[in-house]
Amino acid sequence: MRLRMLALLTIGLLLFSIGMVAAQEPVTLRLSVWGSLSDQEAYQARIDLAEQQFPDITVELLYTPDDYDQRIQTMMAGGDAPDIVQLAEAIHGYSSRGQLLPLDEMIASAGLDMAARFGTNHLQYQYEGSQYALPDRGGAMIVYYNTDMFDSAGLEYPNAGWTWENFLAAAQALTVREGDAVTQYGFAAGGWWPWWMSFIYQNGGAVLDESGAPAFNSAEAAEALQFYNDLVYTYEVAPSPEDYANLGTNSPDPLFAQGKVAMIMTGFWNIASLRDVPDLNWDIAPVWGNAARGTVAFGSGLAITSSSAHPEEAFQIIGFLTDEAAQTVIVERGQDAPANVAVLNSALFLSGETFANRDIYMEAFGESADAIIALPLIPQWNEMQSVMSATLDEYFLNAIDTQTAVEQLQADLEDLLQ
Amino acid sequence: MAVSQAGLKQARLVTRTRGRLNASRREALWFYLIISPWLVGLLLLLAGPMLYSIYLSFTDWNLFNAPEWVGFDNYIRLFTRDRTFGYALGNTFYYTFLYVPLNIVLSLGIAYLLNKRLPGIRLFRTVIYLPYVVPVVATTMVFRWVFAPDNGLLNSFLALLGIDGPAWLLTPEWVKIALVIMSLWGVGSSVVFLLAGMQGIPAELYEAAAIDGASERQHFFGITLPMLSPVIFFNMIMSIIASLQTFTQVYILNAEPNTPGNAIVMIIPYLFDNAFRFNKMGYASAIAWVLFVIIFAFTLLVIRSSSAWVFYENEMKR
Repeated sequence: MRLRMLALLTIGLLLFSIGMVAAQEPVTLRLSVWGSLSDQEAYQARIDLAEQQFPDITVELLYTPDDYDQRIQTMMAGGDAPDIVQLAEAIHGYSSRGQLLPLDEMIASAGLDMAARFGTNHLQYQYEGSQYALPDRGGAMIVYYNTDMFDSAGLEYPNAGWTWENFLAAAQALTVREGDAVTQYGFAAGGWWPWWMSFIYQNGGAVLDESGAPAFNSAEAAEALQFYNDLVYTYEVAPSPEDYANLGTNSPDPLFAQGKVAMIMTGFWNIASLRDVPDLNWDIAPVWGNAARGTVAFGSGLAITSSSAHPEEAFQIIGFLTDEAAQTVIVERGQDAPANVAVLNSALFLSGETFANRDIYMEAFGESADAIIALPLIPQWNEMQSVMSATLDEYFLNAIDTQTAVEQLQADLEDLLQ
Repeated sequence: MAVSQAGLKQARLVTRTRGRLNASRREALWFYLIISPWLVGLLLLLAGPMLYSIYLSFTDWNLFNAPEWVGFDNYIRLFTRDRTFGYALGNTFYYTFLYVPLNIVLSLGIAYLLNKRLPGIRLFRTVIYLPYVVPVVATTMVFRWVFAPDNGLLNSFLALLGIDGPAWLLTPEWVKIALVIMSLWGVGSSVVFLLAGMQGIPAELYEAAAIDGASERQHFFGITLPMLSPVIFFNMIMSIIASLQTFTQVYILNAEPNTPGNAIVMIIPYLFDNAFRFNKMGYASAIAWVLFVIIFAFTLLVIRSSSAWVFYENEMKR
């Protein structure tokens, strides 16, 4: 009796589930992102919007705070790749190895006008002529400056017309010393690649030239690195690695927040960190130039993995997430600068009211648009970073001279790229 | 046994026809049953991947596409063109040759002191082991402050002695010494073995020596040290293998933007980077096999030398 009931129940359940599948075929997609907890919440809010738009699609958010690339690679190698992945500079390590789906056909059939939606931001996600991701977030590195320090030194605020000369003069005037000890730095940066790389491009140099060959061994690159190191060891307007260690941090951002630095270069995200710092008066401006202008845009795109079982649905989702409604959520939550140009130019973004509690010069992001470096996003990006920092670590500790550094960088990169 | 061969055969036949197992067969079956998790683990999870990685070390494999055979290219590159691997080898040996002897001497000294019967000695024995229990990640984070240039704990102490300490973690010449100091903080694990060894030394040896008028010094070098040599031998092999495989400290320190990378890179962190950051699995496998040969050679050397200095109680010293 019991057995018969069980059998009936099983058959019933089977029929029921077959009926469900035939009826609407609900699809579950997995979307993988990195970031902080507030990033995770912002993505979830946008996914909720997408699920309202597409009731048959469920999107599961995979959030990985650390070692993101390793997790993605392990999942891909294990045949368990998420359908949609957030990727940034490392993207072409994946696209060049056939792990991502070329989106060109789906973009064409959806009639998506890339230039109208993203400006030029999507070009960095192209590899050998194919589009591998839709830009999702992004904004240039800008200058954050302490207005009180500028006022008390009687200096004009930084602006898009500044050259290294203006920058150095301001940094010197803003550095305050008590005996040997510096109590206020004019500028602060360090070994992180976007800082020194910006200076190289500002001087008309490049990491890789137009043919893709290493270009460290050039007068422009050498001069830029020399100037960058001189800020620390000759002009002494910026902290050395040793100074950082004594100050108990390895990043300029907290020093700026503590009122120990007059100017730093950092991204959009710092607005949220500085917003609630009491008694700190600050504003933002585009980064200075020299022979040219140059700043790094930080962003990320959303790509579809080539093993995804539901590429059409995945494209619907990333198309929606990069459209105005979902991109507005990024602004409303003060998470980042959106990649969607319409949202970037929206009154809401330019007012800054959702993320800054003061009137800041939001136009700085738009004014930086034409200064953004075309980053050398080669498939070996991670290895290139590692090779470069091995030499530059020593250079920024002032342990080797400029000529040695650029020759070594040139040789190492040539070896890597051959 | 009084049972004849024929009788035994007869008995086996009987048990077989009954479909039962005799005692020795049952024991064998239990043996294989009980070790089978380990045996399966060894074959599937260790021997299989190991053999496969030999093959991989002769290929170019990026984890996603099929491995491509390149012959000895990976090995040739490692030893002729790869500057970073040269640094990694040099740093690993430097660290090992400094750390292992210091670890042995220091752990012996501490174990000797902890073996005294003093009030509160149990507390000290616990305390000396505590650093070893702290995760290496936490230790490394704490030591960043200990090693801070001007106001770090270590340099503040040195300043009291009138010494101007270096920027430990930022100077290529000092950063490995800093690593050794950090590792020596976890000396407790070796101490525990030595202490157990010391307490196992029969008291009558010391009594006999005392009757003969031996000094404390003679006690230590004539009795304690030889009796402990098997434990020292064990500690030595373990710490050589562990230091050749140093990973966590280097990985964490190198994530700091200002750490001089070439001065601190070691074999396993470099292997890890190649495998999981650069997607060069074939190259990483070649590094793994080079390290295997190095560890094997060192271990063999220590084992071969042991007959000269390791003394077992049940054998006479030659």
